[in-house]
Formats: sequence, C-alpha cells, structure tokens
Amino acid sequence: MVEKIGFIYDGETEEVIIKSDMFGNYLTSIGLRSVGMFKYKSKKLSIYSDKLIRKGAEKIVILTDMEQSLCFSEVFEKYGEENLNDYHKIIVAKRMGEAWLLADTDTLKNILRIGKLRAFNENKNPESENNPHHKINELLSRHANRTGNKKKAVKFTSKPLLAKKFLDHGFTLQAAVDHPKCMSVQYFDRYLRSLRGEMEEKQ
Amino acid sequence: MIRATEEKKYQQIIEKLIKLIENSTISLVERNYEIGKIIKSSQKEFRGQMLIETLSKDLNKRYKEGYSVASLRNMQNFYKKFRNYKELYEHAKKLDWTKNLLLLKIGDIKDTEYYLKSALRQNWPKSKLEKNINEETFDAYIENVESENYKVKINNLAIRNYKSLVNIRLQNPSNFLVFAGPNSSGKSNVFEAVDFLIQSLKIRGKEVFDLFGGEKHVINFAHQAEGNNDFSISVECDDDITFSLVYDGKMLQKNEPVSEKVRQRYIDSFSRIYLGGGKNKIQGLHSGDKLAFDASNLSFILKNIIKNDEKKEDIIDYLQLFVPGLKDIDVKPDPFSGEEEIVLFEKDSKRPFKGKLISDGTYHIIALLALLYQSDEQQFLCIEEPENGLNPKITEQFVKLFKEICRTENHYIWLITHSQTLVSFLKPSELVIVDKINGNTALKQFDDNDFNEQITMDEAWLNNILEGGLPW
Repeated sequence: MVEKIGFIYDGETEEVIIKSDMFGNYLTSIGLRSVGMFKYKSKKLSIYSDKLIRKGAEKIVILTDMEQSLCFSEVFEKYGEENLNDYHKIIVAKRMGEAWLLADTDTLKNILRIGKLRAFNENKNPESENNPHHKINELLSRHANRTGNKKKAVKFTSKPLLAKKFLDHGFTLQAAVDHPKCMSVQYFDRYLRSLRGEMEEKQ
Repeated sequence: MIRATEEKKYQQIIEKLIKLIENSTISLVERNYEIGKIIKSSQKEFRGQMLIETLSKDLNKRYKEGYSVASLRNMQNFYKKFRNYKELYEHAKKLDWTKNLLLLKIGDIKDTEYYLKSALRQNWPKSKLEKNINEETFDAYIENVESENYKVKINNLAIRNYKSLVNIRLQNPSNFLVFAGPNSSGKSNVFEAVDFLIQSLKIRGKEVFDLFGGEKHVINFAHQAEGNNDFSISVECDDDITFSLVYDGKMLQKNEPVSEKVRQRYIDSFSRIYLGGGKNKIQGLHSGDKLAFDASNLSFILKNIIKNDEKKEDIIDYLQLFVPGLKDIDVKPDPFSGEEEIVLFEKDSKRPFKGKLISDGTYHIIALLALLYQSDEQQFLCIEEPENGLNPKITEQFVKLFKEICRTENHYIWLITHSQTLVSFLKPSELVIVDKINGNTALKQFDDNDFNEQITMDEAWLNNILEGGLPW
C-alpha cells in the first residue's frame, strides 16, 4: 500500500488545484499524503523525480494536458521515455484542470449566481469541450454582460485566478468526480484510491 | 470710384499689389492670401468707393486677366477664413489655389480643416474634393470617430531630435508593446516624448517646455551643437487622426484631430507611470482622476474605483491571488492626519495593514490594477519597469492580463522592462529592442514570422539572436 505520493504537473490551473487546501484534504480523506508537487518546465524529469523520491515518495503522479499534442506518444516523449520508470504514473487528459472545474456544476452555478435548483445544461460534457477554459469564460462573459462589467471576462482569462475563484466558491475534486462525464478526474480518483487498496485501478 | 483725396493712398495699394504679383519667390496661394490681406485692411478707408471694382479694373488693365471682382473677393475671403488659423493656413499653402477656392464654400472651420487635411493627405483631385464637400462626408466621418465604440489605432510614431531620439519610427506598433534594452539606451525618452506631445496639447504655446526642463534640455544635444533647435513628434492614427508637433526653434506648431471629442479622448486616455521611485524622471501634468506618474495619488484613485462593487470584487480577486492571505482592501482616512490611505485586511490578522506598512511590491500591484480599472474608456498606458517588486509569477499574470485587455478593449499598453520573465511571454511583434548607437537611440521591431516557436523571446534576446538590446 502506498501512502506518500509526489506530483508533477504542467498547467497553471492544475498548479492552483494541487496546491490548495481542498486537494490536501482530499488526499487525507483517502489516506494519502503529498510529499511534494513540482511544475514541469523542461526535459529534466529525473531532477524532479529524484527530489520527490528523496522526500519519500512511493509513487509519482504526472498530470499533463494533451494541449497541442496529437497523440499519447508525443506526451510521453515530452518527459523522455528513458526517464520514466515504475515510480511514475502519467495521467493525461485533453484539458485536465479546466475540464475538472467545468465539471463541478454546483460551484459553477454559485459563481454564475444561478440558483442551485435551476436546470443547467452548459456543462453536460466537460471533456468534450475543445477548450473548457474558453467555455467557462464564455459563460462568465455572458454573466458579465448582464452586469455590464466588461473587465470581468478579461479577469478570468487568467487561469490561476479562475481556479482560485472556483476554490473560493467551493470547488471540490469529489464534485468533479461525481459528474457523470468527466472521465479524467474519475480515473485520477480511482487510481489514487487504488494505491490505498480501496478499489482496483481500471483503465 | 476712388475720391481724389484718397488717390495717393490708392496708388500705394496698387504698388504693393504689383510688387506682390510680380514677386516670383512666393506661391500663388501665399500671394493671393497677401492680396486678400491688403484688400481687407484697406476696405475701411475706402468704404463706399468701390475699392475692389477699381482694383480689378486697374489690375486687369495691367495683367489682362486674373483679377476679376469675384477673384479679388475670393482672395479677401481666403485671407478672412485663415487669418486666425495660422496652423491651418500652413496646410492650405500646400493645396492648389483651385482646391482652396472649393474650401471657401464651407462655412465651419472644423469642416474646412477636415476637407483640407484629408485632401492633402490622400491627395484628392479637385473633383473628389468637390464631391466630398457636396456630399458632406465630414458629417459621416465625425459620426464614426466620435461614436462610443470608436477606438483609436496607431499606425505610426515618429520622433526627431528629441533628446537621444534623433530619428526613430515605429510602424504599426502592437497595442501591447514592450521596450527592452540596456540602461541609458533611451527607452524612457520614447515615453517622455509621447508625454511631451500629450502635454503640449493640454497647454497653450510653449509653456510645455517648462514642464520638461526647458528647451535646451529637450532638443538633442548634438543637434543643438550644430546650431539647430528643431524637433518633432508625431503619432499618426487611422482615419486621418494625427497628433503631432513641430518645433522650428521659435514656433511650436501643433497638429490635432478635427474632432475636439477625439482630441480630448486621446489626451484623457494617456497615463505614464513609473513605480520605481527613480531619480531625474521628468513627467507631465496629470489629471486628477488618473494615476499620477509616481502613483502618489493611488489612494484617491483606488477610492474612486472601489466605489463600484463589481470593480472592487475584481481588484480583491486579483489581490487574493497575488498576495497570499489577503482578504479585503479599503481606503480610509488616517485618524490623526485625516489623509486617505489604503488599508489591507489579512485573513490571519486582526489588525489591518495600512500606509507605510504595506510592502512596496503590494503597493505596485495595487497601482497596476488601479491603472487598468481607472477608466472604462480606451487607454494609452506607458509603464516603466512594471516588474519592480513583483514576484515573477505575478509579472507573468500581469503580462497575460495586459495582453488580454489590449485585445478586448483596444488599449495601448506600452512597457519598458529589464525583466527576462516579462520578455519570455512576448510574441516577436510585441517586443522592441532599444540600443544606443553613436549616442543616438535606435529601435528594432520584429515580425511574428521572424522566429519559430522553438525559441522564446527572452532566449532570443539574451542569446543575442535579436542582435541588440544588450549592454555588451
């Protein structure tokens, strides 16, 4: 059973989510503890991994977006196949962090000041959105246009600011997991739980 | 008929006119203006004596044609039209006389200015000028440039002999533009020159020189050493909107848009800021509702901004991201001095931070946000070294924010930087490399196709791929 875990991520949204108290609480709730979290910048995976292992990481989860990559092999190439070993687990999604935000319907409604009981169909398929960040911005723009605040839409083009806003308005990983069509967060959750033997990891 | 008692004076006028007509060193337009001036100034003395008719008869007798009563009246009207608009007359001198005659039909001077300047800039033939006057295209033009959604687009900035800027030009500058280069290469002079131009539009005559340390301080030293005292600054925009000044050593000639509203909007849009507390920085006047050059009026500006709940929420959102632990912001009078000061509330502290207890970096962050939120109109912001006191992550966020705001609100945000982080987020077209070559400032612009995605602009800059912008 694994207890100590390290993270390597490369997105601005993921950075805010992973560093948040919410994420720490989530890990604790499933019996895991983060020993460190590093933002991946260049082809030096071993530097990040060695440091995490020295800090006691038994497993290193690499969270990465597909971004411009055309296929998974390109994503693996980014880290250098020779640098990857049994410690590493790569979790890839098209646009991970922003899709997870979009998947938390209650928080989204909260930010958009839409009543909890009102029907909301704008986030039916968070991961099939080409760019979930744009989708959220579009929703916020529509809201901002109603209030006449032109700069609000500009503000949320900042990914860290958007992520922080979601966290401040109650975003939880569990809420994203509960969305029926956000596979990457469900897979991430299943994988982490499987490390504690809570459930079998299913691809 | 001229009375016998006035005959002598009349002969003097005729002689003056003949001298003018036979002077081959002046243009037809200038000659006609001067003829008009002589006729106008003599009208009073010769009231009731049919001066123009008599002059016409005598001049046509000498020159066969060209001096009909109507022609002389046109010359007089031409003088009357431009006598109080010297700058406009300078433009009229460049236009053919036949085209100037068409301008005489226009009553309003603003309309005249539009047709005159447009005809010159776009080289309209007489037929087109006539057609546009008849169709009153000025009205449609004004409606367009004065509409609420109209945004000024700068096509060209040209500066000559202003301090180290002997001859610089920026063509189609990007709305978001960053100047990088060694210390003392003249980056600030570019912003100062634009500031000088804006201030000259606010102040009558030559008093603007006093704001910038005097004439001798402003004109390029080497140029002065050669006995010259001229310099010029011009900002050319879309739709024939030009702001420029030419100083010939005596007169400060300004060229402004025909629309007073556009002129005022442009003046109001401009802010030049330096948050580094540097010495020897010269700045122009600022209006009370805009952030001052050194942000010394920040609490006042911020107070106005946060009166609006939505804007306050935005500012707090940014601050909560940029300054960990921060909860709220307000502006309150100091209980002892009564002076308004910024008050910051932290999540984990019961006592607020205010005044001098606020760190320089936090103060800079608030100032940069205030700059963006101080106006809902299009802004032209020149910010020197915005990265001062900022964590690189915050610098990154500000670059992204500036870019987005330029894109969505058509702001012009021009920065001077020494920050590698800041440059690393730029596209080639957003960077201007500044160097001093033989004492003169030189600018280098780039095209987005100049570099591929394999290299970031900071790498290109610091590895000398841009071939400049470095001290050695």
